[in-house]
Amino acid sequence: MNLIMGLLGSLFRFVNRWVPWHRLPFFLALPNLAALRHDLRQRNLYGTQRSPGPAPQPGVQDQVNNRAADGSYNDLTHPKMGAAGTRFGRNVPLDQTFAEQDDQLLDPNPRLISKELLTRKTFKPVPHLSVNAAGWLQFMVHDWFSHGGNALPTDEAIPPLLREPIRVPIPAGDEWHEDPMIVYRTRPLVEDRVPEDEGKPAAYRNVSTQWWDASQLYGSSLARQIWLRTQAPMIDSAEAAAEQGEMLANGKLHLLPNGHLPRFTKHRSDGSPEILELNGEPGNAWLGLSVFHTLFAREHNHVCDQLAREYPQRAEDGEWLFQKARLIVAALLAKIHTVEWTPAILNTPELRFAMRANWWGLQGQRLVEGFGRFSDSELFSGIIGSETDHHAADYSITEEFNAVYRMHSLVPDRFSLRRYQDDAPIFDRDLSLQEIAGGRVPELYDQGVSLADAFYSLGTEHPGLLKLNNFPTVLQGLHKQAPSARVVDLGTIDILRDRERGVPRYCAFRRALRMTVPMSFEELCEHPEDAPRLREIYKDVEKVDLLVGCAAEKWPAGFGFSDTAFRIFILMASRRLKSDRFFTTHFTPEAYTTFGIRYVRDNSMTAVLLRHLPELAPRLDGVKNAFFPWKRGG
Amino acid sequence: MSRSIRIPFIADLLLIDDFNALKALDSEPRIDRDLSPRGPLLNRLILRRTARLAHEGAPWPAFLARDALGRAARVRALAQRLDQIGVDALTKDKDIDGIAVWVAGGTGDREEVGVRLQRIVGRLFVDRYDADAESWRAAETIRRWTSGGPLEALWLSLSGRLRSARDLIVSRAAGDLYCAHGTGIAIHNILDAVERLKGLLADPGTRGRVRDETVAAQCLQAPENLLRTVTHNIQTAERRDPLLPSSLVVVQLDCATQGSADVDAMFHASSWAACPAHAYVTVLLRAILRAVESHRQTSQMGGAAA
Ligand code: HEM
Ligand code: HEM
Repeated sequence: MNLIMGLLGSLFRFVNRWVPWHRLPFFLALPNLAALRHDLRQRNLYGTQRSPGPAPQPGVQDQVNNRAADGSYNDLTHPKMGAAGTRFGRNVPLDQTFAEQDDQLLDPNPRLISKELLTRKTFKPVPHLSVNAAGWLQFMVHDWFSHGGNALPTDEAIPPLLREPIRVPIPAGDEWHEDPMIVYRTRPLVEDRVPEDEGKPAAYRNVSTQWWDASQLYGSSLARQIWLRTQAPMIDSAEAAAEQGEMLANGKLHLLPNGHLPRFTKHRSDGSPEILELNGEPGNAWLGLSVFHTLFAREHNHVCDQLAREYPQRAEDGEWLFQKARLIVAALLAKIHTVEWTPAILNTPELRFAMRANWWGLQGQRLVEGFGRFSDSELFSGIIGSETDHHAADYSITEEFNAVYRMHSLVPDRFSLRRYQDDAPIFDRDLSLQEIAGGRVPELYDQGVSLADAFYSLGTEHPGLLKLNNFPTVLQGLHKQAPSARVVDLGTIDILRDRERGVPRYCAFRRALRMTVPMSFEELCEHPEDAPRLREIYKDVEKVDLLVGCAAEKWPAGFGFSDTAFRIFILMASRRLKSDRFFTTHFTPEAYTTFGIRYVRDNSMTAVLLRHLPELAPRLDGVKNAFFPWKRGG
Repeated sequence: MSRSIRIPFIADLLLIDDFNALKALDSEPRIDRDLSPRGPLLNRLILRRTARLAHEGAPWPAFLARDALGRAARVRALAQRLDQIGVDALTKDKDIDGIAVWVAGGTGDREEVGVRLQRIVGRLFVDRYDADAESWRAAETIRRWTSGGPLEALWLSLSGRLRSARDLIVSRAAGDLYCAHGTGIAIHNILDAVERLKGLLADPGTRGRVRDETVAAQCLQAPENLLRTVTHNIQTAERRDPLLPSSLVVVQLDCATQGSADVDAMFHASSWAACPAHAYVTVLLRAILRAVESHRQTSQMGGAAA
């Protein structure tokens, strides 16, 4: 197999010099994609875990058949692999990941780039998607990774130079509220630093479990999981949960009687309290994210009920019910992402086919579901249930993956909240992103915006296109809360983070993926009018930042993001499945129960929506993919 | 991934390009570096390449067996001496300045830089080491001999070019085979690193990432192949049949360390055969980078004055 893929790889590398994969006919584009992925798996996976890493705290007794709370014991021979607190890996050779320093870090000025090249002038929508596609992606991102809080200048555990904020000079005529703009650095490795790190490029910790294990719903530690499973009127911390509350005996997640997420109080930097919704992964809450958290917490509880009915002898075993429901919900999320969300955002016949093939292989859904896998081959019968394989490096999410998923332009600035029954506006004006974010989310529900209204409103509007000058204005002046409370420009931060974390700039990034590289701004830009604007700021095309290059380049027809980002995507989307024992060797009735395997097979985004919100049926009627725009009512 | 090539009478090779496999193998006492030609045809041809460099029957130092008389002590002494050399001691060197001009995009060519490097390395061993176009060409011939194709090697051997190149390198080194190794073999790795530095600094997308502390990790590449032999049969994880005293292990160190930014690994620092010039080469690259920076500053000041 390796030999055949190697040969195909050489053949297509030759062909792709003239014709990119997406311009080939369907029957050639598919093997071309398979060859690209094979090549990327061999040459674009690098580990950085030089330290022993955190001690596993699985919090489950049967580690073979359940997902550990902290993501440990997924690989039974390397229990720490992918656990919360292990490091981000890389998709480019490590010698190309040294951070940019001093003047170069600020060259060209990232605030200038944010202002000139990112600022949204008129909202450019993606007509074939709904805002739910954006909320979903953030919901997934919160499952996969987070760098955690920034390096606070007051944090004495961090060496002074590394907690010194980055100071971005404000260009003339720009009315930003402070000059220089202060940007806190990414928190460096401190406790986890080892002598072997000396002289190597900086690495960072992923504070979430790195696996596709629904940690955004269940948390990345046992303490948080207990908090989420504990019923009490209001608990503000994991410690308080451990002391006061009692874990639900039926394996369920705690939901309020009205089916909404429980709440907790967080104090702003001025001491005033803010009531927020509780979920597995804190931070950056807004309505578009909350709807998925709420829906899938309900789904978890529904699966617990079903399991108790199917297996009455285990109905009293709350721990068993919880663990099985977690496995099932995590697999269902992965399936929805693979066979529904991805073909929605990469809306081409090749990708529709390829993503279904990731799950069911060339053998196809019907045959796999009807007769089981015909072969061990992931190509033929899908990754699900095949052999686990980490390819060239131990499994982890990568910095480059993180970089291409900074897709903030998906988020619109204004939202019209409407009733699902008749499309009637709920408020007398559109709301800004700020007004549907943070503490405003539970307030909106309390003010009578139902979950169905929220889903419907977001389902009938479009997300922003990931192109130049389409960054949400609100995020360019985002009010962040404690502990790093300040008004920040997320556009500036998005540019700076890649430079700070040593992600290569656009041309070098493409070179590292063996893609062709533009020789001029004209060659880079899809729209000729962008070329002089980029030239004026960057001077040299080699300096173009990854985020800007991806937004400026011409994308394959039907794609919702760039071909450059897509290379990381095809590598990592399959890897999240192929490396995970619970999607490969342990996707079995022993781990999931027979009911569980069937449940994952029989469910989809639409099925979950209609189970919990049957009133949405007329709005989803005839909608081919739940992430496409829904039907307007009224 | 390791690959085993076994064809009776033709080849018995184990190719290793995985760093962990290499570390495990290197700590095995029955793995050695006795490079006298033996075994099937291809093994012999490979081993002959290092053997033919021997001077009056003495192999060059990086081709000596683990227990060869005096090897370990001499390497240790050399390392101790080279470790003393700091960046400041090098920055005053005229040749370093010349190299910096080229790296910064100024005049000169690759060969000229090679000569300068050869002089710098040669003088570590021989006070008045004399490098010129002829000694550089000899080093080039050695490189072609050690890593060129079979026809080229045959030609170099038959034409006598190899012998005269080897003799020239050794005589310039005043018979010091450590110096010969540095100026005839290792020199190419250093020049490649300097050339890579030039590329990184010329590219505005990467220029901002090159630093004193990291320049070695960003520019160096490990030697392509290291050779190991076997004293007694051993069973390894890498292949089903045991390795025999006639087998040859080819460690593809360059592949194994590619993209790792791991300078220790590139110098095989954890091995019994660790490179004694590890710290020195790092210091040399830093000195060149520093000279480039000061060259830039002066030329900018000059530009501003004009
Ligand atoms: C209202 C919506 C959103 C808000 C308020 C928000 C806010 C933020 C903030 C404050 C950060 C951290 C910046 C830093 O490094 O200091 C961040 C990072 C990030 N966001 Fe968003 N975001 C939103 C939506 C999204 C969406 C829709 C995506 C879709 C993919 C996304 C993807 C990311 C990624 C990948 C990161 C990097 C995380 C890391 O560095 O670990 N965000 N966001
Ligand atoms: C001044 C230049 C250099 C000198 C004088 C030098 C000298 C030596 C010597 C004498 C050995 C044999 C050590 C032993 O057998 O114990 C050795 C080994 C080695 N050197 Fe260097 N070296 C130089 C530069 C370099 C450079 C630039 C590299 C590239 C990264 C390098 C990589 C290595 C490696 C990997 C070995 C191990 C060989 C093996 O395991 O068989 N050396 N060097």
